[in-house]
Amino acid sequence: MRSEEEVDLAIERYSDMVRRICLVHLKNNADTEDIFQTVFLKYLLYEKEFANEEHEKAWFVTVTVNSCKDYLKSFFKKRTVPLEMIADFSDLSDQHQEVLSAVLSLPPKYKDAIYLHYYEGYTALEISSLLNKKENTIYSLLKRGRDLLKEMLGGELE
Amino acid sequence: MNLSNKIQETFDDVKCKPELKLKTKDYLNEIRLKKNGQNRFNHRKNLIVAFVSLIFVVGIGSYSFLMAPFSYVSVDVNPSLELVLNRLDWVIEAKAYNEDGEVILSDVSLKGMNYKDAITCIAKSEKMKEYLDQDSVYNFTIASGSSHKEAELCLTIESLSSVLDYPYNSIHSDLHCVEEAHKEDLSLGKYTAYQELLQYDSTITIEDCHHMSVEEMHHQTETHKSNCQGGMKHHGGNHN
Repeated sequence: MRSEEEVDLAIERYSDMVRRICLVHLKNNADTEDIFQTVFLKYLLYEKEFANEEHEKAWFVTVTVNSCKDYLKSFFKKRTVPLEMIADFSDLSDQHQEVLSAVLSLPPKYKDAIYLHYYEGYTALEISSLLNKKENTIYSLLKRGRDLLKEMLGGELE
Repeated sequence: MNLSNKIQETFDDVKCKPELKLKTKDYLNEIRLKKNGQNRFNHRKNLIVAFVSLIFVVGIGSYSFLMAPFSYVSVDVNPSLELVLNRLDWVIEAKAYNEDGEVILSDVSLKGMNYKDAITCIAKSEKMKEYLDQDSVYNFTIASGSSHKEAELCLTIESLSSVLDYPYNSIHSDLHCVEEAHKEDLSLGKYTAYQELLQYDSTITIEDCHHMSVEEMHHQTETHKSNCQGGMKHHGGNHN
């Protein structure tokens, strides 16, 4: 079991990223909170050492994405997920809310690739390793996702 | 502005709220406390299991050590008794091999006694005195898992001569004779005497032995021995 200091440091370091990945997948704050805590609980109980900070970050990405997918796959969620309101982001500017809505409205398979590439800066090869998909598939997802965003955001994109 | 910058800027504004971080830290600390408590409990439980196992192993070991027969001492006057001793020379079983022996054992309790004290107790028993007369002899037959122990037990008997008040013989036998003797329901001493007598008198049977005292058997053996020696002398005389 990891020490309190280690976990606190990881929360400070990765909480924003975990929160964003949860946002990409989940639609309300309660679900986000659940997965957020689950991810850090897994970190608390994870005994193996990380080779470096990049390795640790990649671990968080994979665990968060998988936790979200598992959560959405669960019997209960499949049967009962309503069209809930997107979590409260009223403090975002109109322009950012529009971009965020567009990203979140993408089909699930594109969202991870778009987020990891355009925000976290991972290459297609790195994303293929994180999401356990072929590199060519990631290229296709990125292209298709980008096209969809362009369609949705119209002339705002170059 | 290109897509990359738009997404960068948008997600830059998405932050984890401090309340969620605090709530998560509290939740994880709670889990940590529970786990530590559980670990302490498991540690304590493991210690208890280890301690109980140790006690069990030591108990079994001690029981095996203390209750395993190691030496046999047969006491035959006419009462025929046998003492089974452990490695520490404590009596773990006292068995009578005839009715007179049963009378003696009904008068004394030998189990748990040191071998020396048990012999003294038998010799001092009022019931035993009833079987002793001027011709009586104590016949001790000893068999042990170690020759060193056999010698030690014989020396103990010698040291008891003042307590016994009557003459005594002490002889060694083999452990395998113990098993054979018990099969025939004879004490080790009587079975050893039977084997000796059988060398001179092939007509003697186990059944006969059940009705004879060890002293009678020894007497018959001695008679046969003297006859043989006499015969040999006589035979030798003829040659001369």
